[in-house]
Amino acid sequence: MSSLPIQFAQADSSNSGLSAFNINLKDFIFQLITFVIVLLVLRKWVVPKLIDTLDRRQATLEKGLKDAKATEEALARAETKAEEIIAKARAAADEALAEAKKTAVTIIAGGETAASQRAALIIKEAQSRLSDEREKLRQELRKELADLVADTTEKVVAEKLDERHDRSLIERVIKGIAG
Amino acid sequence: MNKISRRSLARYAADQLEKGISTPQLASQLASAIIHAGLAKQVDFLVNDIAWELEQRGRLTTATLISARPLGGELAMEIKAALKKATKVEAVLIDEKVDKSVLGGIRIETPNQVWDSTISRKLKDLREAF
Repeated sequence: MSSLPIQFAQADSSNSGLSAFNINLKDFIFQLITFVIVLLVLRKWVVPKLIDTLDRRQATLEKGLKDAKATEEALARAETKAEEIIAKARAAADEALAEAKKTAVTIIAGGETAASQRAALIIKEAQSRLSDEREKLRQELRKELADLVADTTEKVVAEKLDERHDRSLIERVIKGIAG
Repeated sequence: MNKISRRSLARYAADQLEKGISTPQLASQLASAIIHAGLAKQVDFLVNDIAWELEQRGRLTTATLISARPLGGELAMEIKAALKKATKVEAVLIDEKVDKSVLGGIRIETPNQVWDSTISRKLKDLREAF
């Protein structure tokens, strides 16, 4: 029996439907057979390997995606943790700063109090010294004035006291002695 | 032998003078006692002690009058009378001194008392008051 394609080719040598399309049947069948052979070859040797390669690549990609996702998740967790640590550190720093400020305010207040007390003491001592100096000066002035008065009186009396007045002084003394 | 004190010598001298001993005799006795007691350097003090003793007994007082000018007889007599009354003694011996530095008034010194009413004293008091 001749093959079907050949039979079909012989039947088609006259003006059939295929020749209307200007198609050579022999060539067509030959190409078809070639196509099938190529297809079979590809299917047997190429496609599996291709599919295998594609599968491996897909697996790799999927693994990669999975890893990326895991990495992303780990990163997110790490970021969250980092934020938590930063927040804690910031809170601790704020607390330490507040404490330090409080301590500084206390120290400054204490220092100001001590300084103002010291200043008040210094002022009091200075006022006391000033008062003493003033009193000393006053005493010296009084003494100088007394000396001046006495010296002047001495000079005046030496010049002005006559015998009559001297006698009256002595008589006053005598009256005092006699009682 | 105990040393004789100046005060006991003065008392002895006053006793002797009250009894009416002559001055040279008393002087001789005192001189021996002074040398014996080693009081040769304290003769002036002894004389003052004797004068003090005599004034205490109301017998005699010796007064030194210091003034800027000579007093004159009348004033001296007045002072003598006043001292007699004040010290209650039988007799007053006066020694007058003139010292211009007192300026005026009078200073009267007896063995027991001093009256200083000189102007120089008043001025000194004025200085010291300040």
